[in-house]
Amino acid sequence: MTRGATRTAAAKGVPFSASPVLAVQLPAWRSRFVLFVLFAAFCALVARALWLQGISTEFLQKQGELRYARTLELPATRGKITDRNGQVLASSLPVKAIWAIPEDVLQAPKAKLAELARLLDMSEAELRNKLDSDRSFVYLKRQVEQETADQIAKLGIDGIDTRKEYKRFYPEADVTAHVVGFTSVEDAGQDGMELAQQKNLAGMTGSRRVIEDRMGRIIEDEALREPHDGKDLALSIDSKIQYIAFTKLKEAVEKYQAKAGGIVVLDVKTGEVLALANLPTYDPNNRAVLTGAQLRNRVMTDMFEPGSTLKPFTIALGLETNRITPNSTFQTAPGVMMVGPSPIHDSHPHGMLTVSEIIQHSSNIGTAKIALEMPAQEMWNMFTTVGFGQQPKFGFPGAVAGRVRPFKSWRPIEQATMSYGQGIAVSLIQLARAYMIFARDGDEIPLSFQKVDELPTGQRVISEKTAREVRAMLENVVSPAGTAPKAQVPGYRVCGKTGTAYKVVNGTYAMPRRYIGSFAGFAPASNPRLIIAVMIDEPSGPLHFGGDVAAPVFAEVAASALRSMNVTPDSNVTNIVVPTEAAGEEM
Amino acid sequence: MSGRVNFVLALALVLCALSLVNAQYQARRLFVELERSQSVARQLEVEWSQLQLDQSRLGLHSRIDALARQDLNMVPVTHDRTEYLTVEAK
Repeated sequence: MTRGATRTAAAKGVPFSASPVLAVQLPAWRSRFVLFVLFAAFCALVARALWLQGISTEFLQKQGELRYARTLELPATRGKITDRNGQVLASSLPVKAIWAIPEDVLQAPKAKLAELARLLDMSEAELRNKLDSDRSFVYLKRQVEQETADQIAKLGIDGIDTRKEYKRFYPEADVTAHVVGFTSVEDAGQDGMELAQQKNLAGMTGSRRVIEDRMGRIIEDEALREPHDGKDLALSIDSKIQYIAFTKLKEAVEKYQAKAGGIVVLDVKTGEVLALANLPTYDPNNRAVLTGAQLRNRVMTDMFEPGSTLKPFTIALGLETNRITPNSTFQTAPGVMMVGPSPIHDSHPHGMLTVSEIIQHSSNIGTAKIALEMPAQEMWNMFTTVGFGQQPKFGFPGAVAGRVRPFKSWRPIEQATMSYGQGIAVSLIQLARAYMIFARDGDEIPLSFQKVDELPTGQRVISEKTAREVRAMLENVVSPAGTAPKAQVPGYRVCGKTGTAYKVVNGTYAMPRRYIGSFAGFAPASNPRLIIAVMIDEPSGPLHFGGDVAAPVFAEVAASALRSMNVTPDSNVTNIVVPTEAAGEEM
Repeated sequence: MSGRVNFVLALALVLCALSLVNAQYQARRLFVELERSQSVARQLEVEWSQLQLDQSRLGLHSRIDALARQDLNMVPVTHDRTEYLTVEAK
């Protein structure tokens, strides 16, 4: 009844004061209760607001940002390595790493897994083996090329994803392997110039904070840290000369059934290393099976007793200190000389020889006689100044210092044998660099594996006169009457010296005798441009003298390299005379 | 009088607001375009690296050597088959 009356009253426009509802008498506590409930609700709101604004604000802001802001990594590419003419020797390209969440992947249909295994180039069992793991993240394969990665994505298997990474490609493969080196799967340099120049080659990854819309499209940049790509590196290597050197060395190592070999070609004017090759070698693109022997950069890291290739330094010192002239004579008969209790041998008795002839016939006795006229300290100084026994500053990892014992402990016999390169150990690159003083009229310049733009200034070691005199003697070596007729190059006059050394194994000479045949020389004699040093390790065929195994490699490389560098010929001799009975040679 | 000023100010406010919306829209549009161009640039850079690598591979001296010898029947130049021309010194 009351309800009905109210409605009618409102509808009829009865004023509020006259409303019959007002007439109803309610207990006063009810209104107070409602007021209290409203107040309590308000308090709750204030408390909540305080909680959100004050205490959990940081968490909430972070959560909010997560929904629209994202940090992207900006990858930086590793710098390229090129040869001196810009030919790419190493370059990084983006590839994909395929990773998986094993639990999810194992639920995929069997046929799809088989297809995945085929694309990953592994057997199904192998794939299952990788997936059989408790971890929630497993790399299935790294450095997969883009094409294959796309095909895998097309399979649409749950729990398979990719990550961008870089793979290093080496187009020259085994030819430049030892100079360029290689990188790890993480794109960090491991060997060669890749390791030496890691700092410059490696890029700095950047990052970028962005705001995304609901579709995941980037709509705004918030903050940016620019990525810096690695610097490109131009090596001093000339890939043409490198190829020539590598193939000729390979031919020789196979022909003379040698265990190993090394060759280095230097530019006389700039000190640049134009070619450096070792055998055995490896393919840096495919390093699944690698042996220590393949990895070894023999030119840089192997010490050997250089043998007779060291004689010119003893002679040069004698000439420089005016103790001898090219025409001084020494008696080398009867082919054996006693120094204290120990004998020194020549392989053929030569009789009276001039200094020039001592070099030409490579007489041990002659050289030893000259050496014994000089104080040990002077010889030691000479060896040290040209770099023997000194830690090289080539900026190349693993380069050895060689071994020259302090002169104070030299006994006369040691001084005598050292004068012809025994009891002293050097690396091939040290030997090549030391010949710089003869090729460059007496001064030496630092070597460089990077392209050199301005000519370095030399440091004088011997006088120009001495250098020229030694050069004339070295030219005689490479003549039909010398020890290295096989080093002759048609059209060019060349200088050089052979060396054959016994290999030292565990501190004594290996028995049966094992040899290292070497040759160091430069051409053209009138104005030297190239220094080439060759080493053939343990030739096991009938030939093992440096003049037989290493000199021909020198001649072939010099001929091709000089032609490719457009060097004007300085000789009219075109037919090479190699006597059937090669002149005798000492160890 | 004050009513007219209010009206003008309100109008100016609305115009500013609309131009802000427009500017924001343009900025986003240009940004997307920039983004797209940058990704194209990256793509091209990768392609360029790839091509450089291909060029190196095709220009390998071992490949040229093999092609010249086998397919073209060429032989290396030797000194005695070379005619040297010397420029006379003035």
